[in-house]
Amino acid sequence: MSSATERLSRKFIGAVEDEWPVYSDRAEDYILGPSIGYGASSTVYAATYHRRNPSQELPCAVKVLDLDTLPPKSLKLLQRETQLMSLSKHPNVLRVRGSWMEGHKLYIAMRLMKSGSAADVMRYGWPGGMEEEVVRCILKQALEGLNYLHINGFIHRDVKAANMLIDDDGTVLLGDLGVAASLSDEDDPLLTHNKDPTHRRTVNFGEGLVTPRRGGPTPARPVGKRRSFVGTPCWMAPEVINGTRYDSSADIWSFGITAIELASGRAPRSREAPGQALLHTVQEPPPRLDRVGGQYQYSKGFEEIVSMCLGKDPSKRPSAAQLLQTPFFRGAKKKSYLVGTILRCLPPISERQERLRQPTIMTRRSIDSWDFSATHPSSPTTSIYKRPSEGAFKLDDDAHGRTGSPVSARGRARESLSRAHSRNASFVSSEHDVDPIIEEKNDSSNPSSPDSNPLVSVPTVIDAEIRSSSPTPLDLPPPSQALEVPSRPDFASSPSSSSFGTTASAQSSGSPSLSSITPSSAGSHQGQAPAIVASSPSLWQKLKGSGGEESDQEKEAGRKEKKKGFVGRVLAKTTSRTYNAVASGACGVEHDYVNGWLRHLICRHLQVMNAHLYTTIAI
Amino acid sequence: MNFFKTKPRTPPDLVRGLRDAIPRLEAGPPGGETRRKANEEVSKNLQAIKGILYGDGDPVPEVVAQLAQETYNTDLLYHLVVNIAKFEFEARKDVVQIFNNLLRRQIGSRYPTVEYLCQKKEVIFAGFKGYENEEVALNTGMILREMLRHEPLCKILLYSEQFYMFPHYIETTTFGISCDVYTNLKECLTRHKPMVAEFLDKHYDRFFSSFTTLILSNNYVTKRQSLKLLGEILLDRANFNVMTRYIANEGNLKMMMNLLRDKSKNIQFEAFHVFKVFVANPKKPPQIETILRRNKEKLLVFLKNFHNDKEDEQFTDEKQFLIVQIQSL
Repeated sequence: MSSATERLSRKFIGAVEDEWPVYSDRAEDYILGPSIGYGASSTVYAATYHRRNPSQELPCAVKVLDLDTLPPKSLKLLQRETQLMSLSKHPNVLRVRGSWMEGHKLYIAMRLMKSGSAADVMRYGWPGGMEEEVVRCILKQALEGLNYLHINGFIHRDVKAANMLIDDDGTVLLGDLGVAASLSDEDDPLLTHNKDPTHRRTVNFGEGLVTPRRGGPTPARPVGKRRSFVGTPCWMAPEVINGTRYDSSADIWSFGITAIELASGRAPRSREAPGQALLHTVQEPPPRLDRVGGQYQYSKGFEEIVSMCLGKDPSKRPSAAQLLQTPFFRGAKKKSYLVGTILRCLPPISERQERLRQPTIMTRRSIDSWDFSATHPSSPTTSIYKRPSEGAFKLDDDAHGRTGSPVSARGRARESLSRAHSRNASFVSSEHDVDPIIEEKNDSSNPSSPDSNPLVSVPTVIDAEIRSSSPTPLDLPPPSQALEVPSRPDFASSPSSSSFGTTASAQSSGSPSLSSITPSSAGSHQGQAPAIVASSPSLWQKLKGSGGEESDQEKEAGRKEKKKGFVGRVLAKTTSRTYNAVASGACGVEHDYVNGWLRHLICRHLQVMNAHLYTTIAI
Repeated sequence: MNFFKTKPRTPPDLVRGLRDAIPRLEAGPPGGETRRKANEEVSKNLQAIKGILYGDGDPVPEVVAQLAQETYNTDLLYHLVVNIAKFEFEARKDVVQIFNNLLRRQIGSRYPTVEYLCQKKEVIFAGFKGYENEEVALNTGMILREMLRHEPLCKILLYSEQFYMFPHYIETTTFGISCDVYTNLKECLTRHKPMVAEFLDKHYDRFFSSFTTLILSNNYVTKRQSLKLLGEILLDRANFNVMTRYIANEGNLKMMMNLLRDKSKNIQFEAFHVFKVFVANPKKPPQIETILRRNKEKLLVFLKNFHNDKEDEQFTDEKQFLIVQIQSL
């Protein structure tokens, strides 16, 4: 019998009684205590669960997420995370104990991991690294959890010390399945989230077909391999960075890096810029465990394990199951060993202030990052999960930050902006945000006023005009004042009841609408419905630039912008051009915005992925 | 030569062994020996079947064919889905993997399992009914999703009475499961476009009265997802007729105008993408136009201040288009 079949037919390691039962999904059963962690869109509280029968109080952690601040993509990831957690039952994998909604807030109850993550513990008490037995004990437990995930066809994709959570009894749980993926499930939000959104949102009243603006549907992928660019730079395997297909062995690489991290206090290349770290991972020999240079000394066996995991050829890396069979891990001490060695003198998690700022399982940073905000100047140790666009800007910011002022307010504002509207923020359209100065120039050099010919004017000009004349978001009047819609409760339950200015519905049975909609087409077919149907879509299309031909003005504007080198604006219009422009070396134009290494990476990805930029990369 | 080596069990052995063990899961007293043994038997056979289907390298086609045939003969898939809650936690995931593997099995352009399931509709409904049990809902949800990928199977659910259970399942389950139900509803309504367009056209009234309850749900996630899905359905070329009907209804317009003022920005934004269709319609029915005209000034003020912080070129263009349209009323 072959080894794989053997592995499959062996009894599941997860067939262990779960001593931590699911609590309940009722909000009233929980009492929230002090907050113990913050993320970009979530807060974690220490809490108690009040069991009714038999009456008992159990400590737990409750993560609260404001879903209204999450872009749709993150909502999907969150969904996946809770589902994967629910489908995992293993003593070394974090589980959901209950979840409920209140308004637009989602509450997730989990086991309270009183000591925080391995990274937290290390940072607090062993900044230079921990001794071998401790490292071995932590890794062994994490490996059990990882093995379970792998056997079940999941890839974790973000293995690192910050995602290994420790309880005060020494239990280590693998947490943060936020970017984990199932090898058999093709609905990876990382792959499908951007499937031609503009096309979908286009209104078309005509009969003609709309040409899709972005790449076609995701091609069928062989099950069992992935390509998304997901993870945290220093821990990412070369094949993930390269964009070649990868599987669970990518987690083994990250596991090897984590081993070094725990032994030396930090991940290799964690002091480099993220881009450098990525590039070096691909180009240079794999990092090694320094056996004697650090605070503690490490065995030859440990070093061998690390270098096995850090093989550049993924097929040569051992599986989690094989690693568990090695004498090194078989000989690991029981979990209680951690209690006497590292956990005993640890102050409670809420008192370790740094915890509040560090990304851990409890935060959603793996979703919202590149986070180069004030507390986190350029760090390759933060998870990334971004498309190249956003990555590019943030990195750009980062570059500014390192050369000039540490963190610009502009950068932060932009970040929050791009978070706020990630729906259509694609590689090109977010290029838009890069430099307001260029926008102003455009404004003045494109004097065509939207008033003169509103139906064919250049979209970007309208755009700029609106933005310059509009008040800041803060001045926005509350929506309820702007529109007088009666908000009687019965209205909500019955959409057909008429309370919205409908009394005069009968009197306009004529067809004044036909001529008033489209001045340019009104004359030709007054009152002739079919003709109007045929002609107005093109106007609609023109305005939106999503099909049909571009108007001359639009082309002209495009040329002007191109001269200025603002490639993003031009590309935003006809996305099909994007691929060619960027892939065929027009990257040079982007020079101002994207520094060298990222350009290199993007080009690489583009070459590899060809037209599927939007569906497969998630920088 | 090893005389003690047990003969490997053939696919019919495995399938029959599994099939026969299932009723025994509830035989004898709870926690009794019979049950424990039956459970072991189930898990063991599932593992072995999985081994055949996913085994190292290439699975042997003849063996797989034999296995598949035997599952059809014994209605194994039905029994697996119906009894999945009685299986152990890990065995449930094996059921999902086995089911989905068989479903994907292809001979030329034929999908034998799909053909089988078309004759055995109970399996589809049993998969759907899994949402009634929180314990297994995610497992059966995955099975259902795989079935919905196939147009004939999707069609069976769509045209069934059970289809209208979707809102109930979405509203009464917890976040993770509710999202799963939603994913499947979306799958139902967006994957096989021409078939769905025909369905929506035929069952317009019933479908939308049911769907409207989701849009008006008190659950934030449901509301937001439903609006988004509505936008997707209406803006799909295949659903042109459905869209025309939808945007001729003043009740729908009023609902969207109210949702434009929802306290959640995301819901406002999703509502915008439906509202725009009413306004962009070059053939607005009188009742629609009247409402818009009566609210012209308010709408203009509202739209000019609507989500100005969004730096999304397409959105801004569309908003401007709507302003122009409303101005010319």
